[in-house]
Amino acid sequence: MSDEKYQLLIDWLKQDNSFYLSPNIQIIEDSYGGIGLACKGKKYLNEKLISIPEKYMINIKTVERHVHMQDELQKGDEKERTKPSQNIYHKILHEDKNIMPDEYSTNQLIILFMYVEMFILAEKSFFYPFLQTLPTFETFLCSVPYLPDLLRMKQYEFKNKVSYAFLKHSNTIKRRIMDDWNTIKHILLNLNHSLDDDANTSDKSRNTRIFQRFLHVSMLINSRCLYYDITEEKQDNFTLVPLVDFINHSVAVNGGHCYPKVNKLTRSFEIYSGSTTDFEGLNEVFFNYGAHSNDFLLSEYGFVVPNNPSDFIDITPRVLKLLNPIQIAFLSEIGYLGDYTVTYEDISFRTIVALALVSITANNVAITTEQKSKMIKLINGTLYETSFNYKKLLHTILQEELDDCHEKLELLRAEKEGGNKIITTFNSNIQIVYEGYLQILKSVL
Amino acid sequence: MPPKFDPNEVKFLYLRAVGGEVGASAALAPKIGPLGLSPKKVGEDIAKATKAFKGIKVTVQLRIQNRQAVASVVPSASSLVITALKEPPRDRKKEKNVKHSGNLQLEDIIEIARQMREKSFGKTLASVTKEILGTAQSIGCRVNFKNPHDIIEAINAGEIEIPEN
Repeated sequence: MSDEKYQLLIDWLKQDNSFYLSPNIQIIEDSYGGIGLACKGKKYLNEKLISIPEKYMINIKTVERHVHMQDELQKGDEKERTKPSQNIYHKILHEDKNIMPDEYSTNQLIILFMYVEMFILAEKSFFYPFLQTLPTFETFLCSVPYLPDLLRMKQYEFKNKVSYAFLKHSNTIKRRIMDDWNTIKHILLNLNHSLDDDANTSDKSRNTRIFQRFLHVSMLINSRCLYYDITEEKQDNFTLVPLVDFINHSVAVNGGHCYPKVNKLTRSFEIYSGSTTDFEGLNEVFFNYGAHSNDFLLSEYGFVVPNNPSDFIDITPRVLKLLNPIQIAFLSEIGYLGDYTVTYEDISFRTIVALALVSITANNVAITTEQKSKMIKLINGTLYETSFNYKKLLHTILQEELDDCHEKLELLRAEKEGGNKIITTFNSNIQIVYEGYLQILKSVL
Repeated sequence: MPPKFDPNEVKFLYLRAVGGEVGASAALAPKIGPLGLSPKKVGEDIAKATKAFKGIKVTVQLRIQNRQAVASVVPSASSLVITALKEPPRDRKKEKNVKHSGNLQLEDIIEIARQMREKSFGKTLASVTKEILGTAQSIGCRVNFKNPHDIIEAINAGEIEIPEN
């Protein structure tokens, strides 16, 4: 990111006296070529590093306030009506009669708002200094494996390379994105894209461009939203915060760690130092976004972390193959159907319960009362898993998973180097996921 | 679309357990089993985390996130005071209705007050110390070989000074 963009952002934030940025903090390019925040010199435990006033954030409350303020101004004197921001919201809310805010989810409303601010108002947007610092669509296209799939770019086939856990999670995200698109596309397609449209633009090309921009905004919100208490509705409680969204994720809590806090009085979003350290030179500061596996990080944010202690392997399909309908019904009844995983040095209790059931019941035979009683004792903790002979089954499943990992890693490594950036980034990220899987399997086998 | 730092991702479970012992899993298992946690392993983790409070009933917090649980003791004034008394281990089934008639130094009470300060609504360390002295009175032990209430009165009268921190 250029110095001019950063300076524009800071000058914009400084217009409010309650904005604070520690003089020791500055923006850097991180080791992956992205942006991060770094600290130099001494920082103290619980020292405030950044404070962003609420008016600069993008969440449902600030969006409603902003849109209605613009709409109210439209009703003012004639000079004010010429401002593009007032015209566009007045048009959407009143003239087109397309939008009844109650009919749309919070996420959809914020996508609409950011779309208008980024692509219709552009430099005339109040939020322009923030929006111009956000990642480009090309950044997401390289790092999020299912985006080319949504754009029907068939040359970037990834489904045979990725893990079951990633596929499952990314399918959920894709469904959500397409639901949002199907709900709001009629509004986006009707907007006046006068900056881009001309007589030579075909409908198909225009629609593709609008869809791509919609994807861009969806990914921006998805990857950069922070938890922020607004209402009792879970879907409302997130926000985008300028400057704070430069802070990257790290699994290690060390001298470079910091944590977020919302000031209950002023509703500012604040960042505090998590430790007292005296840095020589620049050291990047990190958050810990949460205990997320690499499959999750890759599908939600488009990056992975080597040696991630929160990694797990989802072996649900392999376990389900061993179960007959009677066993499935029983597991469903006791609440132990599905979500069978393996983590570092540990097998999930749900996996143990399912395999224990397979080990004591024969296929296609009803489960006897004695067997049910034994299973209930296991899940109640009065009987330990050592009373069941499930380890051989488990070993077979883990060995199959290991062979599959090796096969996929060979496939990834065999793809020629020097491919385009999208393929190189996919392969590199997915390799790190599988290397994590190998470490898990080595720890449990 | 999970926002970063979503507090709903973390579950907290609280239970009472005897320090240093692997307790009965029957209470724990129905709550943590469906989350993928082995009651046996979690029981062992609780025993490890409560080693310092061996034989004393304490409140344990289980922080559960992403199929992993971290056990920690929720400090309480009573458990800290009883631990400070350094009583010999007892067979809880055979020895009942014990009297905690030991003696503590005021310094021990102040140290406990420092640990409990965050939880207390007391403005100063002195007020938190008086709360701990109240707990010591309930337990039945002595402080500086005196009744804890006498120490409270001495603090109020300014005869005993408690440091700021």
